[in-house]
Amino acid sequence: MKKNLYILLSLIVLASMALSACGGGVVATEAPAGPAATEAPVEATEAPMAEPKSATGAWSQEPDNIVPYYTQMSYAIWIAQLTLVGLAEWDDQGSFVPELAAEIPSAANGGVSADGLTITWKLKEGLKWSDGEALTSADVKFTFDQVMDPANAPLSRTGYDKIASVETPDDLTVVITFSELYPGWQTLFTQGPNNAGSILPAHVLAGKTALESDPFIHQPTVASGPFVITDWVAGDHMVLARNDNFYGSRPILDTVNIKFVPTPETALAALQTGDVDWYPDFSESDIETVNALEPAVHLKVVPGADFEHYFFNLGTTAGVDGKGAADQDGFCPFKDVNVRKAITLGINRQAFVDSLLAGKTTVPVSQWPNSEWENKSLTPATYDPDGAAALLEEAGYALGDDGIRHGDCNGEDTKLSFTFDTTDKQLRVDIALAVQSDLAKIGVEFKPNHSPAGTFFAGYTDGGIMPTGNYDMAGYTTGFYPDPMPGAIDSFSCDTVPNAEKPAGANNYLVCDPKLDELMAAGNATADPATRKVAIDELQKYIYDNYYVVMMYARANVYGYVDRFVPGSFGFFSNMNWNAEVWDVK
Amino acid sequence: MSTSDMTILKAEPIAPPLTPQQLIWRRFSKHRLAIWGMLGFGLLLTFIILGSILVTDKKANEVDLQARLSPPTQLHWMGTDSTGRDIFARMIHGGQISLIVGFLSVIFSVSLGAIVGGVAAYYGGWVDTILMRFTEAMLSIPSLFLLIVLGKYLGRDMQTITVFGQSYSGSVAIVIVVIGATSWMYLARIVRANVLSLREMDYISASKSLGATDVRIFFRHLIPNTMGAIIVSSTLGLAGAILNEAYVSFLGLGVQPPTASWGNMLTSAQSFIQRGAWWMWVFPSMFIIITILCINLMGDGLRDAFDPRSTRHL
Amino acid sequence: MWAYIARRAIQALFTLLIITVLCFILTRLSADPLAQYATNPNMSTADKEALRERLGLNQPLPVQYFKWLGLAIQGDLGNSFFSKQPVSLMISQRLPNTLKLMFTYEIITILVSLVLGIISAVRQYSLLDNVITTFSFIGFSMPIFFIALGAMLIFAVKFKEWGFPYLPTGADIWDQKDPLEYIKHMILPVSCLVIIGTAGYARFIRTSILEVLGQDYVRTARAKGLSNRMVLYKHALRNAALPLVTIIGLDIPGLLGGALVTESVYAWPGMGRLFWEYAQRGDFPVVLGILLIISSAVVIFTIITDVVYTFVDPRIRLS
Repeated sequence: MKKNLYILLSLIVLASMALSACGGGVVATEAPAGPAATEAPVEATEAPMAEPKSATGAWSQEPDNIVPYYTQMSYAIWIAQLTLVGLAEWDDQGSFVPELAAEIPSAANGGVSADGLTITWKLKEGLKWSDGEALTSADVKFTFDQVMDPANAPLSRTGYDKIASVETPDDLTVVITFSELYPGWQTLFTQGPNNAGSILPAHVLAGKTALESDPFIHQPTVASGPFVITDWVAGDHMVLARNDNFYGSRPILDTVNIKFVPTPETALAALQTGDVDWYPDFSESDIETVNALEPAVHLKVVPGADFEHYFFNLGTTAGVDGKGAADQDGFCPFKDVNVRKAITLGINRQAFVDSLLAGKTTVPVSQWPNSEWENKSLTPATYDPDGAAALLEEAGYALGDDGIRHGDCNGEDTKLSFTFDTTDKQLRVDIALAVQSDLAKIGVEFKPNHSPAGTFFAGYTDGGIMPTGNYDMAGYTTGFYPDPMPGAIDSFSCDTVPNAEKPAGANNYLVCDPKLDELMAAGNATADPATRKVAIDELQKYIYDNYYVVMMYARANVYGYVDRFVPGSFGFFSNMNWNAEVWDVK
Repeated sequence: MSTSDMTILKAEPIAPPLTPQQLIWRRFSKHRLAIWGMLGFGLLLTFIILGSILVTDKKANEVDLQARLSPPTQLHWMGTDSTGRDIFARMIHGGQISLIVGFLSVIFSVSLGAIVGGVAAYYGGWVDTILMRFTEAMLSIPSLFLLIVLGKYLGRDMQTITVFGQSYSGSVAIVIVVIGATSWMYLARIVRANVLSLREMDYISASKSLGATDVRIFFRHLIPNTMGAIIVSSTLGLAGAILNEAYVSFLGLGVQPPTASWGNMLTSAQSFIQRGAWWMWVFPSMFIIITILCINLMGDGLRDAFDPRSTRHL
Repeated sequence: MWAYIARRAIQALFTLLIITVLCFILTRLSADPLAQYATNPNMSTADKEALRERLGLNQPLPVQYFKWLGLAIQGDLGNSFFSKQPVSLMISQRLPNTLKLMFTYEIITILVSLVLGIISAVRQYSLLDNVITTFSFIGFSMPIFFIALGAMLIFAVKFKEWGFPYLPTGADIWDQKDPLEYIKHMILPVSCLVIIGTAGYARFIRTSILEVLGQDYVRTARAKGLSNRMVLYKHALRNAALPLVTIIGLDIPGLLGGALVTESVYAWPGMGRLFWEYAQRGDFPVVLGILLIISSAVVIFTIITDVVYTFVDPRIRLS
């Protein structure tokens, strides 16, 4: 009996040892020695260097893969900013500046044709990949081909599908001809924090199919950006080394490490001990905490182009002219613009910007905060509880005994009591509470309900709250840039109201307003920025006057970095990775 | 003879034998720590019950952005949180919720676990097989998913539940059900192991041959003899349920705001720890620790009191 | 006994089948894979429809399930929706880290609880017992995220500030092949887990030993002149092993799932993080793959535990 027991126990112990031994430590993905080989000769001719300069950043999520066409994760796009380049990018002032291109195409230099359909890019001379191969127009053409190749499955072909042809008359020239006017041509083949049209290496990837599963998206062998990935330990960290063939100024750092740290408090602790040099993922509610750590840790708050907004369910089952029929009718009182106005006036937005957001950002007036498209003639409505109460009285909603207003809407006596849905992030919880308290003062009952992001953003086929019209008010963050119109059109037009025919429709407001569609079309009708600005200004005024959404605050990027780290410049639109080549350590 | 001689021979009054309940109390009261535990728990209950009557739950939810993150003062005895709500009031109402969640889920899981484990072991055969396979299935399903799914489908319909004039978030009921439904498996396995040993005992076969029904054997012999494990499980389970609630609050799936619970108060406090807002986490954690300590000390005393073979001399 | 094991193995397959169905339903209901693109202006409506089609999400649920099952039976857990890597590769990259962390924790916990439980039982009600009881409960009563963060703040941040020898936060870049570094980085996470786990085990051990020590045959053994220590080893421990075996058997499969909060706070690249991060994105091949492994472990270890019972307590007969 005892012998059997010992045998059994030994088997168990052996089994567990075998389990833990299999894999033998974390599998590291190594790139072949290409980049290192090209580094050595450059190093030898330098004067004797001090010890190698390296900096470590912490990100809260790991990219799923790192070629921009096959992922939409922001962290993947950040890696692309470090390891790849596009024809142009946006700098810290929001200006569109050339990277691989010699200059930005415009009507003046003949880069943009008279009808706006042909864009000609001229590349700089002597461009190289990290392995020494030349970077030419063939790579740009290949990038276009692989996006449109039916054998590949990029996540989005938007914009590229408007291109009729890409010609390469010589190694340095790329001629792009559009099939129809596409005002957002600047977002194609260029890199920014929200769009990654990085140029891919033809000499490595040409001839391959199903690039979405190619090892290159996890183990890139070449790079064109300031750094090259040399190691990616799954779930843990990435190591990048300097790319000596980078077209711009020689990157100062020898190595950049990126560690994946899911908890912001850990990142804060790591900044304090110096284990990590910078962390770009703080939330606005951490501003005061990071500020308290000066001068050892520096805080940088950069207002961005994203915004947090609350909106009303404006759905109608009837739709308008046969379009835009939603599954459910929205909360009846919201049909009255004065009710929407009253709710907007009844929320003290500046108060929570000042207290919960440390006053470091602003209440935006439209969907393009801080950008050149913003309609500067509009100002955000100031908090006016008395005016709001008066508006509600006039609209027929009198105060009831329980302190909540009620009145006739469509023949039924309706109480101004409704739910509000959003995700469960702490800041959103806090702000929803403040709003609840504000609205209670004018007799409106606001009931916040929080769900995890995967539930809140579920699509129509998964019974998602917003697409199925199962909400009264909801709130989240989004942004419409760098090109102002495609995102707005997708979000506001009658054609994209989600229903059984169009389950993937992105119009979460369920609004169908033909005038709105008209204004948006005008904003997308030409490529000339001045004409567009006029149309987009009108669009902003229309949304503003109709109180379709309550703009809550402009989102800010909050960075914390230690004193020894010298970052580049931070743009409202370009995040800190756009000029990684100038990063330095003291 | 004189009457004085008779008095010497008069027998000493004999005390009547102690009833089982008195025996149990006797044994319990000798366990000093358990008495402290009981006193502590009593004080806590008084604080919460009295507090709920004196401090309304409206006060616990009153937002005041101007006064946010203030340390304990005369106005706010335990300071304020990130939206200016009074922490003292929230501790009272949060305590209500945490204790309700703890007790109800433990009652649910212990009953289910003891019955499943006991029945499986006693009857054996295919009853045992089916029940144990069911136990394994429940062990493999992460409670996080159950919380997400139930919260998604029921959470919006059960926005608030009103009991005794106080309104609670519907998520409280969901948390109780899910914690209860995912913590009974431990006790089931332990009770099953105990009963497997016990059912071979002579007094069980004697009972059977005397004609005792299965139910009687079950509740009169088997369960009382696994009382030790059941009590330990219950007290640990209560602690576990309160902590489980804090854990799922950390992941955003616990009792939903604005309803307070000690668990979700601790969760909101964690982003403010490094800012020096000590009052946000010291009070909830202190109360959680003291509550769990008292409950477990009492449980210790109970276990020893119920065990007739306890080595403590009376 | 082997017939019994064979029978259990067949039952195990049926159980696993039912478990996978349940987990599949729950996973699909809990998160929508396309939710992460909901606010992304680059993904147009047409793009999202195409993605849905490609991932096979438009098919009815049973079809999706059987497709997954068909591959899983052959040992292919499929590829992650978003990273496109094979699920088995992703798991094999993180499982060793989790195993090293969790098995260290389990072994230390068992040893420490044995010591504490035995002392507590043998010296019942003494000052030592009361102190051990109180401190183990205090350790047990704190939520894990609290202990984890607190320990990091004290031993990594404050100790460094005050000039004492300090531990790493886990957010640093370190060489996982270096055993010394590995141990240094394991100290904080393992300690946090041990502090919490010890109390539970120690209570059960104490209770079982006390129950045994109260038995008649122990009194007889003592009367026969057997020393306390011999009583302990020969009788008490052997008979108190049953509950311990039960809870260890229940815990081991859970170890494979890692410790979500500890791994997140200490940036430990383990299974817990993998599970949670991908579950939130609705990447159900990864999530189902992990759940399949854990359920298999649950089923296997239940069988092992049941068999071990017969060795520990000869009176137990397996039916």
